[in-house]
Amino acid sequence: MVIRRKRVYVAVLVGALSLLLYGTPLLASTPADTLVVGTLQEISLVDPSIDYSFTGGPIFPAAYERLVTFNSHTGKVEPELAVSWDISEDGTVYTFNVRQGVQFHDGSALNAESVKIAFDRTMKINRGPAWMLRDYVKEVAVVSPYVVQITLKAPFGPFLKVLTSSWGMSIMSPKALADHEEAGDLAQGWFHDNMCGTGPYKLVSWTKGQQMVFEKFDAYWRGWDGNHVDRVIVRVVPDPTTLVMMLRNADIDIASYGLVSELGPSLEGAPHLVTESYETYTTEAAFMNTTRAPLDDVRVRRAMSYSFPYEGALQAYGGYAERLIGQLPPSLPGFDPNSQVYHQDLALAKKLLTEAGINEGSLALECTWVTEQPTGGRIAELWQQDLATIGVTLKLTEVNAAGGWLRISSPETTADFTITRWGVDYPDALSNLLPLYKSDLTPDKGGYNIGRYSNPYVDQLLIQASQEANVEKAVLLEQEVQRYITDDAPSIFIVAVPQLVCYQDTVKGFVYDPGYFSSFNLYNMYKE
Amino acid sequence: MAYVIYVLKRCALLLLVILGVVTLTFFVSHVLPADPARLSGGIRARPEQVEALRAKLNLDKPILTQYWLYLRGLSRGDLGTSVRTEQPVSRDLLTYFPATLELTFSAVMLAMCVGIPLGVLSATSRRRFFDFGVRTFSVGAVSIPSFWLGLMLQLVFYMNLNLLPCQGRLSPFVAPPSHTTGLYVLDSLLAWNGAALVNSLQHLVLPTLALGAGSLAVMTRMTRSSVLEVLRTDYVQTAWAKGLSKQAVLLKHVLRNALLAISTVIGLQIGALLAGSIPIEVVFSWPGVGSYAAKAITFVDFNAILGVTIISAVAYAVLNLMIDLLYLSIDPRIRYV
Repeated sequence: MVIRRKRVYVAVLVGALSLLLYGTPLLASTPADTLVVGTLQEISLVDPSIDYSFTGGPIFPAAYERLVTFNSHTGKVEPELAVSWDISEDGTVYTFNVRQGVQFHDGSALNAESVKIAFDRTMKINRGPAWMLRDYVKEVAVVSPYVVQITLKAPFGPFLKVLTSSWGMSIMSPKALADHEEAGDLAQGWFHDNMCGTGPYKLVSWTKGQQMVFEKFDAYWRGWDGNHVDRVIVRVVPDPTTLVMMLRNADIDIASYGLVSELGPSLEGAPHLVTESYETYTTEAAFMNTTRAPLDDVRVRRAMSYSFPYEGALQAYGGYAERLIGQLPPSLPGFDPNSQVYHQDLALAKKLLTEAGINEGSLALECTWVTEQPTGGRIAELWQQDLATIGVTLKLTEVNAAGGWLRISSPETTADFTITRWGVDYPDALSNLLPLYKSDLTPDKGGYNIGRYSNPYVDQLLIQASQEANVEKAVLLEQEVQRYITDDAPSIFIVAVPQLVCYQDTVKGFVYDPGYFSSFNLYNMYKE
Repeated sequence: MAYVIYVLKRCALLLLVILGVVTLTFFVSHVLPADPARLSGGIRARPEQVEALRAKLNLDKPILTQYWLYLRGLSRGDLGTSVRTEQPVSRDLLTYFPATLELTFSAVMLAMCVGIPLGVLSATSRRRFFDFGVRTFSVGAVSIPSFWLGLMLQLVFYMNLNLLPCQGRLSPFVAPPSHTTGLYVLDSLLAWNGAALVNSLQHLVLPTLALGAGSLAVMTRMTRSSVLEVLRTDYVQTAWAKGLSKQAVLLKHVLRNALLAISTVIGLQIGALLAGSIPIEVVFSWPGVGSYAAKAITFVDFNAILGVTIISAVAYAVLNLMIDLLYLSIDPRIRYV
């Protein structure tokens, strides 16, 4: 009797275990009609008027569209929800013909009114990306059911490119807005967790902390001929090593944002994986505090630029980065290919320091970077060793993101050097040059001129460039700005931050976008 | 009656504990050098936008006023709004707490259901090979950091053998069971959803092992030593002498008397597991309060940090109260007055 009972126990145990292990067999790969995107960081809200992060990259292009998009390969602005446009002579009135026959996910139709409502909403909410509209737009007006007119406060050359921005330019359904508005909140409560745009995929479920499921929107205006996937699942995998394992085990089809260069080697050797490193429009630089001695002296700043280990710094990116020639990524419109380039020359650096009246061993400077960008720390350590050989002491201070904001909030608390990154808001040189070098755009005033660099002539050139309607003339002005900045050396230009993209070889049709490097062209991607 | 008064007294004490925890966490988190309003405003936030956010979060007021406003909200069950998720913290906790509860419960179950029998067997086979094996295992399991064990389990059972999933609560292709409690295993049982049940159990295996291994080892050691102690008592000798079966002696006389010490350890271990779930949740992408807390800390999300601290303190205190009440049925000699 006892023995029999024992046998029953054993049988139950074995049964339960085998059910657990083999009950629903783990898939060798994901289904062909579904694209599983891995992301290291979950987005916390999906309101396109508010989101101003790179975590939205895999999500927003699924559900939302803009009036126009930017093709980084041709450098041209292309139609999306607008079929054509016209810019007035003085560059202040933009008239768009809105595409007809486009449906939102809730079945309502897109028209000029939808565009006005969407832009007005973003400006009224006045959060993260709203400045891109509020700074330039005087009024959005409906001319006829399918013609919308945007009047600017003053001419702004790159405005069309601003409209291609990944942030704040999405058009959401006015019907959903009206249906879900509560106590004048502009439906912020509803749009926090729900999406309703014109994009190819609609959000069908969001299990917080785990995944979002998007399904093909049958009435999508581009239609579903050709190769596409029916479903997109965005899976949250906050641990980078786990993400790598899942890519290797083919449980994730594609991942980019969060795949830092150091993970590159661990993705190699899996024949079914395609791993590519791309250039982004994001640059990493060391900004010098120009408000106090000794870095208020241009000779000292040049000396620092000559002391920097440019080649060694590339190692911080596991060999995936290329040296920045000048201060902009070469593919960014407005880049100056003839820029003067600083090379490491410690003897020259020492000579410049002596000329500036600085005795060997008397100079001690501080360099900060934020924990979230660990490459800054690795670069600073290399530089520290080089500076030591010419008698300069570099004190290294790591800060967290919140602490970093406190440090740069005033010139007194800002360190001598701040190593940090800058990603563009819209694909134009001005989106780098204006916030980083215009004298009034300091971090406490909505800019990122951390070093408080101030050159009235550069300011004037920047204003001229931003008001210039003629693209060629604007580029010439932007290049002149770059020459002045290189000469004044307010920052050390390190690298254009590379982005790894890794996907299964069954995934086809992926096209990379350097401006919105965390996103995917989901509609054109499919699996074999 | 004395029983009811005891419970009421303990609940009143719990309120004091929460007040203490809130006060401490509030002031410690608010003296951190950070500006959550600036962080939340985004990189290009204008001064007036940051001011508006600061006013919305009450960060423009003196710290004592902020403390008072928080306590006032707390008394109404309002835990404030998270700067990161821009949602009421109470709603966030309702979303994420069930996952942590499920994982912690499953780790406690592992520790109890395996640890107690192992401890008893180890004690009864004292100084024999089995005992030696169990003791070696428990010293090892206590000393291995849980996140490292988690990574190793992922490497072996997911990466190399591909037997078990390495992250999340469900596979991407299995729909979650209809929401009743938020505990997937329970919900799928209630909804009679076999696929979700098996799948959520599979997802529980590795994180449970990683989280529970340390507690399992402690439980085994504790059981072993208290059983050894009881084995030496006169009444156990009597039980053997009067010819009771081994099963009867061990279960009715030895284990019953050893349980008091063991249940105390269980209470303490639950606290350790709740705290220990933070790294495990991050390693296994387990969408619980641990992951939520980790993000809240990097984002200097005051209200979320406070919310997590409060819910952990309450959970810990309530579970320990339950264990104290359990003593009554374990040992009839105990009286609470």
